[in-house]
Amino acid sequence: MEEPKDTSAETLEELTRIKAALAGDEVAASAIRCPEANSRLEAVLRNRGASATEARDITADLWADCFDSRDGRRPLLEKFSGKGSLGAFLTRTALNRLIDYKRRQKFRGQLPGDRDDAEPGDAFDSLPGKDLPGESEDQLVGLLRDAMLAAFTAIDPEKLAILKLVKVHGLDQELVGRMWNWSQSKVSRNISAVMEEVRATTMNELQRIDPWLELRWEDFVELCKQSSDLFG
Amino acid sequence: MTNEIDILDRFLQEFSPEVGGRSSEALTPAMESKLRQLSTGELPEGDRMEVSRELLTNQNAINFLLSQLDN
Repeated sequence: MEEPKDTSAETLEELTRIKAALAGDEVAASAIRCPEANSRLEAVLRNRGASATEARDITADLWADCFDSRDGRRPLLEKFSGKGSLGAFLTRTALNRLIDYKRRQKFRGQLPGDRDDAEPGDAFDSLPGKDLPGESEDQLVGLLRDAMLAAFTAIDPEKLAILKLVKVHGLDQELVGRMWNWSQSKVSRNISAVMEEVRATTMNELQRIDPWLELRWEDFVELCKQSSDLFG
Repeated sequence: MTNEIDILDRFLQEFSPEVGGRSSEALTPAMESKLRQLSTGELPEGDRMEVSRELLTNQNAINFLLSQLDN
């Protein structure tokens, strides 16, 4: 576990606690796996489209992987770099697992049927090839990127270029208007319309890729921001 | 609205640089000429789509346009 260069006092505290927990300190482990954190993770998953059972099982599985080396993999908490909060890291990992689970479920049509009992937790355990998110591909990043790319490629490049010149590169609307021989109000209307188109097309694409996923536009933007902060 | 497009753009630059405007191909003299025309509002409508695509994908095009506007 590497310590990031610009580490806040809070992050340092989290990293110290994680180190202690991984070394077997039960008090530190309990502070990380506290009931509040557990409830929060389950609530996030339910709010994103998981059933209560799925939320509970994914969260339980995640906690187990946090501290234990399983199937030759190192404990999940060792991967926490200190970029962003531990809460955000755990939420992101849980969401990745939810996406992974739902997609496997979709491709299989149903959970394994050659079993004697129907306990959902056991069904999760029986899924093959369960890779830890972040080890190979962050499914969440892939999902956000695919949805956004679909939107950006569907939108008129001219309108998108105007939007970026103003909103990303900070050019004055009036100046851009002069470049395009448009009035300032036309530039302004164009920006609002394109932004709305980006929102609608992105959300439609998300719905098409993962129809079960419940995500608001604000969540989408926040997850993009988190992703850039975490991996950028 | 916090600059949402800024956040999305940064995300695309990180995770899909080929469409995030991070390519840095050298500009052809013809493209430079069109960017100059755009900066002065003289770019013919028929060329706007091509120039817009270049602005969206090539950081050099953005830099060139911004330098023209500074002049």
